[in-house]
Amino acid sequence: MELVYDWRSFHRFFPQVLPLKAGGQGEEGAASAQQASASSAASASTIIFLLVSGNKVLAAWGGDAAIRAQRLATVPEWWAQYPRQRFQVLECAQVDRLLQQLLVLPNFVQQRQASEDWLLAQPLEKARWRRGGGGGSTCRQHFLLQFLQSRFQVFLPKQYGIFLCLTPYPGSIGFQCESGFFLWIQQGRVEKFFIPELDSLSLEKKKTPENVVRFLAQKYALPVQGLFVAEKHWKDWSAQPVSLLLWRAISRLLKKHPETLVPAQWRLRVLFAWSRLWA
Amino acid sequence: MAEFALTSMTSHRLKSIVLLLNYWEYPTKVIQKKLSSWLQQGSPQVATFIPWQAAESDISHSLHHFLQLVAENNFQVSLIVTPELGLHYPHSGFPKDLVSRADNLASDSESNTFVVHFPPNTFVLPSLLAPELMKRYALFLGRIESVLEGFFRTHPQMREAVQVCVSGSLWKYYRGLLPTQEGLAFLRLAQEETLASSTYFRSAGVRAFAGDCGDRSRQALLHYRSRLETLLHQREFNSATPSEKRGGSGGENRWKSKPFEEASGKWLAQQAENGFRQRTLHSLTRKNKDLQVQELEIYTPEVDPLLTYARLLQGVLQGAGPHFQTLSHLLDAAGAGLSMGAGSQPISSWVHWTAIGGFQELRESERCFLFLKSLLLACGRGGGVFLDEAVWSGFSDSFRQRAEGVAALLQQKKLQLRRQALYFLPHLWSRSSLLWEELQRTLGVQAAVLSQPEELSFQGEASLLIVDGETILTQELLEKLLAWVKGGHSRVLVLPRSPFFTELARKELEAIFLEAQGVEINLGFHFSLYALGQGRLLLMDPFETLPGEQEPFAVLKRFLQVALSLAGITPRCSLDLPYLEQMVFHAPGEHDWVLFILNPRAEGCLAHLTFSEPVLASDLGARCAQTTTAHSEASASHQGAPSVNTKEAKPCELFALEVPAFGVLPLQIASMEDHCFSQHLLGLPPPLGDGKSPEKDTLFSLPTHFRPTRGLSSWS
Repeated sequence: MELVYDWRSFHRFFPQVLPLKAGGQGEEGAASAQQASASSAASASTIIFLLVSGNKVLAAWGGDAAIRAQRLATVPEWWAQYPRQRFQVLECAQVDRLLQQLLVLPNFVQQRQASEDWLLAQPLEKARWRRGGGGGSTCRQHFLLQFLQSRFQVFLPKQYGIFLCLTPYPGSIGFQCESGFFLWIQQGRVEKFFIPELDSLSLEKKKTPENVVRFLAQKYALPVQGLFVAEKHWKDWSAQPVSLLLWRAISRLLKKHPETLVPAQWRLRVLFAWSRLWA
Repeated sequence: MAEFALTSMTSHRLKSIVLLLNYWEYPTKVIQKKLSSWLQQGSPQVATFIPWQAAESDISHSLHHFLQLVAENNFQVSLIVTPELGLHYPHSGFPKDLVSRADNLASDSESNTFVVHFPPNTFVLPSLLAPELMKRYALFLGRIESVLEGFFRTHPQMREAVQVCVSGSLWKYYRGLLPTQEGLAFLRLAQEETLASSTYFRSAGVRAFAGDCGDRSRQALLHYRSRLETLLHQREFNSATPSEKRGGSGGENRWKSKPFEEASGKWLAQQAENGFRQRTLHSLTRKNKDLQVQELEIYTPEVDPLLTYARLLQGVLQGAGPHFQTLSHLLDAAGAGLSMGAGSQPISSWVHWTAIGGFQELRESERCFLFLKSLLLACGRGGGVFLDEAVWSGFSDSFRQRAEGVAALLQQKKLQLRRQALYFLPHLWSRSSLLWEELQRTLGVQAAVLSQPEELSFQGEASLLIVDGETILTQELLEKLLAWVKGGHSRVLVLPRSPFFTELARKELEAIFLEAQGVEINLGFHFSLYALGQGRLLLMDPFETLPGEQEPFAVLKRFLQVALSLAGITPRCSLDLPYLEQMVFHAPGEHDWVLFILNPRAEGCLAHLTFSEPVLASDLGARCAQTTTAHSEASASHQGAPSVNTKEAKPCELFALEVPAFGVLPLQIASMEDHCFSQHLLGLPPPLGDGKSPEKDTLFSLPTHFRPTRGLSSWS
């Protein structure tokens, strides 16, 4: 039985990329008022999200553990406590509407993406409160997911599959493809994601990437692009922010190990190479 | 109810830590591999959820194949058939067509649906009272029944090894995402009081289960109305009160009036929940009378509505996701009411940790703390923890060994969670009472809620029972409550002077008042005290009716102190640091008890413990570790209780204790009369020789003054 939305595997292949180190979690209990003000200075670049109903603050989130420990009842109190930080004040009713909008989307990948887009599109609090200055997103997306939704999608089919298989080392051969991950893409959006069943393939055929990709293309009646990337490289790339350097590293590897792309697609290689220009 | 009790017998008992192996998540080969490896590790027990949709569309008979694999490997398996949240399956297993139709969705009184924002997709909770849904649910259960029947025909030896688990399902998740007005009001009160320093209120933005919980969709209201009509035809609800007779209300039934609507709504919601469970049991055992069925209550903290907004921000903002303090708070809140049940057996309580809901993203120390806490709370009440293999393998080997050690102690009933006070609610998951909040704050996990009078028979330790002001008191319920208070030594029953007594119940109570001598007491508000056998009955005015100048919170605290002292409940141990949590376990048949001290913070602290009487205290973790060593060395000479310090100990009231960050410290406490530690908990052989008491443990017994102690081992 194939899970059409295999979130656990998705999370393994596309780990959530956080803007800051995830070390601060759980320390809110220890935060005192003094610590809170000290940390506010340290993380002034982060945005504090306040969930409000009327003029009451119901919950607060920020990059800092101390922020969540604060019990301030109103928005002005928050502003006074953290004068250097930027705030995003969200009305409960608005967020509830967002939740309702998410229901039409098929899976958590799209739903999370939509909620992030919505949140980042919300204006920050009035300029006079934006004492910290600056702007920009606190969110970092995985490079491959970003690429799939970028302007380059016009050069790609409307519907296709990506079979992502992590190999022990670059260019390795003779490994089993059983733990590969399949992304079903429709108009740039991840429609389904799962580990495909390859039981009907013989052991020998499973060792040949071309056979596996051909088999998947026939099984799902889709054009399928295989990506056979060394695990070490994939982890490195996944941990990095999308940048010129990252795309340069990817292009270099594709050039050095053309067997990474199965079937070998010059068009995709060119698109990857172009991506660095827009990174 | 009695007819199902017969089928609820179980041949195999679930272990306290049960790994989940969901057959629909893995290919057959992987399942075989996992079963073989678990068998080698000596844990031949698995559990699996059966998603509704997976069972309906199971054209490849994967459930049957899974059961065959289980049989081949001689495993015991528990099949959780009731719909639960937190499953790694679209819509948590609900058929998509059912949860897409507006008619089938649950909603609150303001028609807001309950959105579950959890992987692998966001969806809206269906109403378990929607007729279409219930019809399909019966078909689903029938399908499960026929799969099992077919399997037992070919594997009759597996009848004992396959157990079907019926859980409480969605009812506890029918809650809004926001704090209720009552919740906010109480937070304000709490902040004004000294309670503000308590982590209980600081730790989470809002309180779980405070306020209304329940399905108020159109289908649910129709169901409640028809049920209410049936109830109102009963003689008990038809008889008029004397005031009604005097007023000549013309046959108007007061139970149909507005003030009773809310109370009856909660009562009927509870009845609907019980009815759902009974219908599930009935469907499963209709043809197959020998089917092993176990009733459970499963709670998945990661899916709780309180975490919805946080999860929404998770992708954008670091640390916004399910975080440690909220999960810890949710365990506290749910733990108070998890082990609920009616009938001939108590319903065991289980906590479910998923591999997809954020628990895995916590730091290891935090995960260990939450896991141990959930194990103590659930296992101490006859249940345990369901967890994904990925979660379990994420712990270190040494931690797993310790967790299994404590689980074994709890499962063998060598340790039981002590419940001293109970709070009777019309609906288990709607706890908007200030009195309950204060009771829980005072006694912690020693206080529990219940909603079925039958549960009282499983709570023999408790000596205080407070009945919520919104409870509809029928004659039958009152008789059960009175039987409880008369059945034990110095038990105290607190009843509200509420309008929710039926006429027959009121007459019953008046008859008691005529027999018993009552005393009127004024502590800023009035209450009456009556002696009932060895117990006492307190009849109190609701706090909402206090005169304007009274401080309701102060009065409430005063009243609770009176009730607790009448019931003989005094905290055995108090800690100077309010954020530390404590759980008291007792060993049945033994005098000594075990105190677990939990530090939910990221830094260690020095805590001062004050006991109500001089005691001997010992580090149970170290004692158990030494016992293991002693056993492995196969020492022929028994040296008594293991101790780090061999000095003669003297009982003492005050202790100082270093509690590490996220530490869970188990302390064995012996009171002055015992003057020695029982070997019961350690599983040691009885003392050899002349029968002298074994050497006393003096690990941190400091007789004259406070001193920080060293060497106590945390279990997390």
